[in-house]
Amino acid sequence: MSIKISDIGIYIKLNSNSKFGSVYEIFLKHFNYKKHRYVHIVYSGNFLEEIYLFTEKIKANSVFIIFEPLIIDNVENLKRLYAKGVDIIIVDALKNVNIKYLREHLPEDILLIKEKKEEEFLAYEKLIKRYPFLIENSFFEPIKRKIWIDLTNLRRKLRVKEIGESYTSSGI
Amino acid sequence: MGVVIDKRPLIFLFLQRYYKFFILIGIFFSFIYLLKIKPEGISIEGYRVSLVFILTAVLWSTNLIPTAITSLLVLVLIPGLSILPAKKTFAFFGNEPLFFVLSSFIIAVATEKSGLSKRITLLVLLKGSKNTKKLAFSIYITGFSMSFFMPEHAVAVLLLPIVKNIIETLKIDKGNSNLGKLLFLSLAYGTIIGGITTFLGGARNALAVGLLEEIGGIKISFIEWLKYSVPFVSMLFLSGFCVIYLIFKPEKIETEELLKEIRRKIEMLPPFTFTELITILIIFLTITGWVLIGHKGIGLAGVAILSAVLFFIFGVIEWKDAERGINWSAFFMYGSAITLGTVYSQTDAGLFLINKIDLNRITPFFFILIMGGIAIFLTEFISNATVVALLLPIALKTGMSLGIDLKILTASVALMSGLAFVLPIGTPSHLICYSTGYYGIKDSIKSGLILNLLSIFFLYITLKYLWTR
Repeated sequence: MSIKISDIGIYIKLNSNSKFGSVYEIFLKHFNYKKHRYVHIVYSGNFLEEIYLFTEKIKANSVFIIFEPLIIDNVENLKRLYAKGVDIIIVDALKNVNIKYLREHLPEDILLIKEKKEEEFLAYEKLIKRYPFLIENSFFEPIKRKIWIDLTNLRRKLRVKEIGESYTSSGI
Repeated sequence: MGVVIDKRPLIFLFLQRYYKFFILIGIFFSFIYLLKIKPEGISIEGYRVSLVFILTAVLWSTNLIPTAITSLLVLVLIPGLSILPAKKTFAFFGNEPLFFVLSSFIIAVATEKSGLSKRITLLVLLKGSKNTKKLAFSIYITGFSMSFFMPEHAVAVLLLPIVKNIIETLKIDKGNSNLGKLLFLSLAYGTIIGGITTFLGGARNALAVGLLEEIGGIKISFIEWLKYSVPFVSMLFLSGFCVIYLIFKPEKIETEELLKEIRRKIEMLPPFTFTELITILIIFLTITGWVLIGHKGIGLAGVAILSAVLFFIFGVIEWKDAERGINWSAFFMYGSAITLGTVYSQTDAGLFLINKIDLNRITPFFFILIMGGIAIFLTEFISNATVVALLLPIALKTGMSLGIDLKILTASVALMSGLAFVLPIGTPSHLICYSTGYYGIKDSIKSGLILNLLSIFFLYITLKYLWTR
């Protein structure tokens, strides 16, 4: 497990044996919404409940999540990550995976990119086009980022249905 | 847990999820637009209260916003639209029937908590459990006959915990069971139909007779009332159960095992407790109070409140039990329904409706039928007593000019105003049963509309062949 804090993002490397609770506490200690525009999670473990819960907790802080899985067994894992708040998936490490297949099963809201080195992905053209404020330095950048995150959360809420979800109606 | 991602266009998903909001916006703008229209032939207050009436009916029946919130909205709209000052509006909310309903919830909780309802349930079940049809009919006929001597909502309150216990014993789920729907609708409709038979069944009958005396100078006795009500009620009683049984044919439930289980449970009951004895005494005093002094002095609500107080004094229930048992949505809904109905009756909105009728083209027979039809329609939205208070004075005044038998006219309006089969807000006994959640608004609309049509048909029959002889 490792955690690196840069000027604009937080880099977290995890595996199945990582202590997610402690990592989250360290994250909270260092996270500054105005400064940190994204959280880059590199994960090399099996997709157990803990990683989804961890992602969900990170997302609750209104931050972009870039997720880089080093291994993957099926696209359902990525769908669940999207449901929990992942905005960008780095697929470079997934050498045997058909990107076209992923694109068919994941919504267009989620961006798939290939650059795997920390912060090099910031130069990725499609990313800059979609999220220009990630590299922007202006007074309004945090506001634009918050609006964008809220919009993507709304889109996620509209698209995602977790099986077993129940609907309630108001009234008597 | 799996995840399904809906890849349809976002705009479609957005409209699908938030359609209620857009409908509400549409309703809001329509309401504002209609408010700007200058009405003719009706006062501005009468016009505005009619709009509030329609808006409330739409919101209550569609549930676009929670029922209780719509109810509170009424208290804002009436003074906000200068129909009536806020003080008077809020004063109407704190009316006697509302506190009767509140106390009724508390009495029901006490009857349940004391264990008395469980004991009575088991004895009732033993008699009526040969099959589900007999069970439902025994509840129906019990509610019906008790409503001759007690206000129908009081009967619903007394029998509710018993029916709830039956439901629990049979392990019936909310919402999915035809038997659950049948049992609670049997209780609701049994009390509604029984409640129109005598003066004791509901305040509306006594009010109607009082208005007849005041406006028409004619008295009608308890026995004479039965001459009008019994033929009509008899037809409705028989068809009422048939309709709900045919619509909500209950699922097959093994009753033999149920009977064995009931006998076993009766044997396992503890000896009769002091709490049960106190509960019986308080209920006896309550019923006596309702019959003897319910129409004067402290009234029905006063007796019900005292009854609730006694339950607390003797430790039958605690406040947290009452909190759990009070259906606050129903409470606010009923208070607002009475407020709205009372405010409505104080304006010329009702008269405006009546004036739209070309009286020259209407025979006396047809006029009575129309009044009955209007009564059964209005009573779905406002309280029975308010329908009588609103409609009967106008009907009597018009009837006098048409040379109509005012007793028959009074009976038609009063009887039909008591039949709120469709919407739970129409009458407390229906609301009390509906608030259990075992049947939905669609169920009561389905059965209620058929019964409403049958009621109008039976009114026609009794008018043509029985009352006018």
